[in-house]
Amino acid sequence: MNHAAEGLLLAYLDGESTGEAAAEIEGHLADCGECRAELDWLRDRSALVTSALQRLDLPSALTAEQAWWRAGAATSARRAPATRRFLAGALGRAAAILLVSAAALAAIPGSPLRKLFTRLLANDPIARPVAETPAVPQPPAPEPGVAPARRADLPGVALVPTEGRVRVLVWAAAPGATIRVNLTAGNRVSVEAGSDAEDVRFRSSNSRIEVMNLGSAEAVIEIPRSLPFASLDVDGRQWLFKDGDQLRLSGPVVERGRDAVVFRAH
Amino acid sequence: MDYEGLFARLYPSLQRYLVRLTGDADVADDLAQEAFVRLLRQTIREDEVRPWLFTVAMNLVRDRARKSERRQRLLNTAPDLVARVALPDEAAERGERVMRVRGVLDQLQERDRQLLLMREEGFRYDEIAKVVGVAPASVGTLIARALRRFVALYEATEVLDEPRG
Repeated sequence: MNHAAEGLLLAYLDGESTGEAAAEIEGHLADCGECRAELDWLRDRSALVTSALQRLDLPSALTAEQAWWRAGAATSARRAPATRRFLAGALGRAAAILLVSAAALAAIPGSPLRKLFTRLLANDPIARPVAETPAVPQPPAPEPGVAPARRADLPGVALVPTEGRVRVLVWAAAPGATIRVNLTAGNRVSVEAGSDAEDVRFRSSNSRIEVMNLGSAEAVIEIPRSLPFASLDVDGRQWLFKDGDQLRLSGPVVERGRDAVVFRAH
Repeated sequence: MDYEGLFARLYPSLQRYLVRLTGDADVADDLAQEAFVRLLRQTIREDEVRPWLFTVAMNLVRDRARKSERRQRLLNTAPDLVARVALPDEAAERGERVMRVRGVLDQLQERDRQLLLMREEGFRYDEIAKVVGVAPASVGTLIARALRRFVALYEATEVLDEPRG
């Protein structure tokens, strides 16, 4: 007796065989113990693979709504060329003149318009999803050690880690960039960039914060002391790894206090 | 096309597929969103969206691996970090189980990984054939072989894990 090919048995198991083909296999299985055993083996091992692969599953850091919103926002940003085509019209020219004037004013350090743009950037819901995180009490004043540098009006991002870990990734740090890490008594991780970080952008999910275009500016990172795991990577190199109460420092440390560490890029 | 409805229906499956491929939930979210962003710029029939998304996602995984060896190292270390979050004993056990499966997947050829993971997501054989680039009639045979290879590697590590003596 010719046995059914393994691929055909699997297709039958997966509901891919229909009509005449399925009837033919069923007819064969009724008479062939070896093929029934083979089908049972495929069924059992398929269950084993399913169960094994489920061990790899990790929940999404985003709700479907957040992910959809971010995907939509990214698409809007990439449709800029269409906007530029619109601006090529007569109305567009007038708007462009206004925009150029505004940009020129914004380029002047200390100008009110520049401050407005900075504030708008800070309130960008992608860049600053603080409102999406649960309300948490403000952390108390840091203990003596390295003095933290924070100002309420600076661009930044904050989140409450929900999986016991956080990764902070800093990109494009130029020589002279200073990164302060403060260990706090709160439950919120935050990153704030100094006022000299003109092009800085942030991205975040529930367990990760990315800081892009830091340049030579200063960033202040606050990490809850109670958080089991935290890491700081700067341009792909790990500078700090927190494992429980242990801090492993492998970046360019210039100052270290009991609850704070200061790095300076060179 | 109801993009938002498609997103709600397909995102969880795509994210799970990418987590299993990359071992990193954050990376999976990023790549899944990127695939959807590209979808929004496409004109495509609704019944072709799902295979299309998985094809794009697979290409994004490949691009990411190619572009930066440094990033690849991050991907490889992420599951360990995640596994260590739970209580010590529990974490160690979970970490071992995860690393065992991850090790088996890593030893498979990329096509075998794709075949097994797409089957787990409930794709039809003709869709799998389109994404993987094989003849539809050969999909059953190819998956059966991939299944055998996975099981052989998986059971081999089980023997090694047993206490000696």
